Amino acid sequence: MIATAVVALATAWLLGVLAVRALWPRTGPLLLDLPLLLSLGLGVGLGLTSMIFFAASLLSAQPARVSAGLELLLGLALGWHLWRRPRLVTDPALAPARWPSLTVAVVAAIFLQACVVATIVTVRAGATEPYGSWDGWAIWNMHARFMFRGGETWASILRAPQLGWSHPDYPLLVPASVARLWSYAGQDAPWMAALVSTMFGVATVGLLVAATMRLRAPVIALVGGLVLLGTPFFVTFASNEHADIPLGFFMLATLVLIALGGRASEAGGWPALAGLTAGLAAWTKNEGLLFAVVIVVAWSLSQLGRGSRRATGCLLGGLAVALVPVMYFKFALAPPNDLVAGQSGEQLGRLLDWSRHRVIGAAFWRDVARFGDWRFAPFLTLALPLAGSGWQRLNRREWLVPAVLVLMLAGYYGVYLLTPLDLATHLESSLVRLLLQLWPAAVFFWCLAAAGGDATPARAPVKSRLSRRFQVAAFALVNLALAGGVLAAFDRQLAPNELAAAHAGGSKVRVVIGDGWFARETDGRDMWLWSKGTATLLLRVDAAQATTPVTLQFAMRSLGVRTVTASIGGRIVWQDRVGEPLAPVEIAGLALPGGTTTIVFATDEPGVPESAGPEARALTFALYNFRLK
Amino acid sequence: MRILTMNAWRAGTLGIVILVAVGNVVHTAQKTPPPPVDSPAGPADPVMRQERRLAGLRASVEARGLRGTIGYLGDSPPGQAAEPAREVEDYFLTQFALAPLVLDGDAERYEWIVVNLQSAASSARVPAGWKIEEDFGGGVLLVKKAAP
Repeated sequence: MIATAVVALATAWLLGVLAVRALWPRTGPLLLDLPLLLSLGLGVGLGLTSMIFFAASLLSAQPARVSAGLELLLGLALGWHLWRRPRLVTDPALAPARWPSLTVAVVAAIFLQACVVATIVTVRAGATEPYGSWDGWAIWNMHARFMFRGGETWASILRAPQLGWSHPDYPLLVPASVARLWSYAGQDAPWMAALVSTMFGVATVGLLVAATMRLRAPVIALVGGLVLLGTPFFVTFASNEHADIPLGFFMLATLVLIALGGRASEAGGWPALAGLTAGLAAWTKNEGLLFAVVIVVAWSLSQLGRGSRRATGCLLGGLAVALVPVMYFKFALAPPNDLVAGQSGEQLGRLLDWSRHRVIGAAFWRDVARFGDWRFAPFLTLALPLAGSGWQRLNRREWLVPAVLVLMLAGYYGVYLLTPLDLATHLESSLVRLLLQLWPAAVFFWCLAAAGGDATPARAPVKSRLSRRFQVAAFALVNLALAGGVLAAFDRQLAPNELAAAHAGGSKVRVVIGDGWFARETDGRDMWLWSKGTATLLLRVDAAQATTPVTLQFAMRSLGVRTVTASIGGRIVWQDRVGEPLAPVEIAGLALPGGTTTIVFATDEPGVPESAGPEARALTFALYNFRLK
Repeated sequence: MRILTMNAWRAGTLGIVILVAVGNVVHTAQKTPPPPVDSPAGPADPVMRQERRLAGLRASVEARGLRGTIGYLGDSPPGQAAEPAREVEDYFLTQFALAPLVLDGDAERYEWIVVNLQSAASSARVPAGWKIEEDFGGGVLLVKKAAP
């Protein structure tokens, strides 16, 4: 099952890379463009295969077979095209990369360690909510389940009036990608949905770094990647099975392809790909429809007077291809959108309702500062490098990036003005995600504007091959050592319902909070747990065999003086009188079998209210700063 | 000279951007602990807990070949919930677990009804004229309209 799902994902990626390569202008060596092709190919491949699976699921009750056949045909056609086309014409301006400087190596090492952290965080977030948070399961995975489990009737299920709360009009790129993996694997395992979601996060970071490296320099590209990885909401949301990260990817991809087109001759490939990715944005979320309109408007305005008709035709052609399934879904299958269906002529008066403007403006001001969930909001520091000369290097196409972002923000503002939903609730539940969609493209523009035009060369020649090998080995060893340190630091973190964890005799032992406790509390380095009366801790051994004996160490205090007893399987392992002052406790020599052992804490006195208020908890005794040896 | 100054400015400001980004990366790591350890009562994640709780019901409706829309009854009649947010979430989670079946809160229109109770007694919620076809425990029932 795992292998099938991984092969299905790899197939989508390969098809995406082939499709991007087929449209890619042949002006440089393949190696130079490989990071861009791989990043773009991942998202484009998932987008194209989702369209194929969508079509297959409408044609057949067994869409996996039909979809596999269509994917094979597409792969063969793309392979044939790439094999048959004329040889590469190398642009001498695009010289092969030279050896990175020490500065690049240092920033690359920091970026790699940030990638290690982001990987672990993403896996943890996915494991905490395997089907994602609310919208993840209630919308995107629900629709994927309809496609996977519903057979040939899945499309009619979306029109059931009872399902209006699940927004069945939302486009299907993410649900179809997930349902495709589930169909190939034969079961709807939640990790496959998280994998699809995470891959879009990976592709976004890869695309941002690769594109900036291509258009500017390695250091600013890696710093841009760090800014994105230093956005906690982006990292924790990547595996959360929403469609906002995929939409952000397609927005970034479109703007990157437009910016790339400004540097080369007016080849049609990049505009065609930009149109395709804009259409895939519309296939991802309804906001993507707005994005597609904004792209066409911004592109058309930028082309007035001096544009290339061929490039415009290619952009519109790519867009039209990707919009075919969107239009079919919207007009033939989906129920009306709640925001559109709730509109009437009278509601246009909201445009002049200044209280709504004030509420929306305040929400934008509040959420722009907080949407990344940062510990240190980066805006001021991001503004500092912009005082340099980087602005002067921006070309006409690159200025389209902020123009599109501003138009998107204006579009979102207008949607909030006209929303038939409760305005405050609508803003509270969606604005931070809308800002997150635009964030990768905003960071991309920052990279373009902050990069210096006359900086010290970031790449320096190296004299011998031996020296190169030595440097590569040293770079790898340093990063492996750093990654080991990062992993060790993560291993020391406790789960929300854990009190302590340690390795004993080759297996890991955890102390897990059982029943009868109030929520765990912390203050600085102190962590404690009040009991409601009789309460249990679970001693978990992650191995089949028994461990070497372990020792539990903690401090205990009580409200009022009482006797507290700890027992395992009815056998008392510790007992003492406990009062207000903290008293150290040690329960030594516990030989634990594999699996779970329950330790029961009981007391002879009832709980004492912690205060006089009506909400006061009745507390008995508390365990402080648990240690396991 | 000016170029040197610009380079120093750029290097310094990018260094600050890197420091802030690293600080935020560390913050991300600190605020994302490992997933909660599952207790004997079931998974900590409410979606996974409901998936497990309703697994027997799902297998049963699949084995019976039920398709389309069927009825749904929670702890309270519509509009009278003591904990509306929790009961709405229960309904949504049950819909997610049983997809592609569609669940309708106007339950008595249908021959088959899924009953999902966390607090109420089944005797209080199963309507007259319906009989319990299968009891999966934990307040999860499948009931069917009795033949007239």
